[in-house]
Amino acid sequence: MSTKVSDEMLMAFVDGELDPETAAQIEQAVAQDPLLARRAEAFRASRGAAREAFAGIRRGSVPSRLIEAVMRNGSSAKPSFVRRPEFIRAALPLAASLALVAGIGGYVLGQAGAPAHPDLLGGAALAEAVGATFSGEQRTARFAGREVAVRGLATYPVEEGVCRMFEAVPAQSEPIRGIACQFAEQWHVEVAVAFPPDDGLTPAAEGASEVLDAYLDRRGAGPALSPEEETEALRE
Amino acid sequence: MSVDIRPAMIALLPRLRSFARALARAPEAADDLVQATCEKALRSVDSWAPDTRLDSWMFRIMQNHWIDMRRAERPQAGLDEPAALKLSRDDGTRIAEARLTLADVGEVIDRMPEDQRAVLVLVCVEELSYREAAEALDVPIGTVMSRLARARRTLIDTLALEDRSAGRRSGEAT
Repeated sequence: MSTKVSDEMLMAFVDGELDPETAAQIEQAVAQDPLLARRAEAFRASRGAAREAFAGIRRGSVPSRLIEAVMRNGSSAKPSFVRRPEFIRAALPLAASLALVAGIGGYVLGQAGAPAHPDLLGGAALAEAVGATFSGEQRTARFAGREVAVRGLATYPVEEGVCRMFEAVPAQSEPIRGIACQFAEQWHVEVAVAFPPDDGLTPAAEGASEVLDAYLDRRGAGPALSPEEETEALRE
Repeated sequence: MSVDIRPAMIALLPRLRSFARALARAPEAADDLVQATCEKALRSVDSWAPDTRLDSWMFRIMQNHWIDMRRAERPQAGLDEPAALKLSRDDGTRIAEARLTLADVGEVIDRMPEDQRAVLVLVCVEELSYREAAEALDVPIGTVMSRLARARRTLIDTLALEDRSAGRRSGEAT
């Protein structure tokens, strides 16, 4: 009896790819035939086995050279990043290891399930706050009705100006780290990454640092400025 | 170019990497393939219609690029496929008894013919529908089904999934 239903048909049934009428027929056949039920179960399990075999790649951190390749390539044709808030989380698969939001002039990358504060990055306010917070300084700012602690981590000279690595911790939320740059007097957040506290389990922080480093490399950033150099560089 | 697709492309990287792994198998070669795919996609971004799926479009670019590359490397292609590709059913049973690890499942998949690996990953890992996979691979939907069924039959046989579910259902020891 079970041989009457082909592997293809049974597979399409467990995958939900059959039209309702055919699906109902197969469902009935499966209910009446333990051998057929066993085969159906095996096809269901085969999907899980394939998924598990690739889970490591799907969850693993993406080499920064690939992120680089994407950013570098588009930028030759179009030098500036997206300058308007654009939320693309809808494009993400549920299991994506990278959750990404493009905020004003920047990218936010984080682990799935941790949307990285689009509202925060959607405004120029963060960029301004970072611009005013020298390395080693900390200030509290308010964006979109939320308190955010902003800390300047280091400032680097780049060809067109300076870039500052910062940390921003919105109240009751996950910290983000990013890079804001001042080009032509204007500060922009260029990259931001969800930066989960080190819980000893996730290598996420490492991947986040890689992204930021890759960005600085791409900009041809020099070594971090000393406090004196930083003041000097930002004097005009 | 009115829409910057790079953020969406970066978000797709984990998925592109798993499809590339299915095609190229070796991790380094797979990431090279992802990189080449992104570069190609960005060069031909004008041929992407913004109201269509970016993932299917890129899977298709990757598949085409892979085929082109393989064609260019034809003289070496033979070395790539080990002679003992086909696991006999006996071998499969033996592997199953030795308790397959995840790495082994990966190995079973690696030994499948390339066209089966591609469709297996698009449907079972990337969760494309049969129709979407057919579009990405540029083959009829019937071809997707037959390749996918063969790939999963291989998994079922080598991992002894049918026997396992039997054991679970009837309470027998397997």
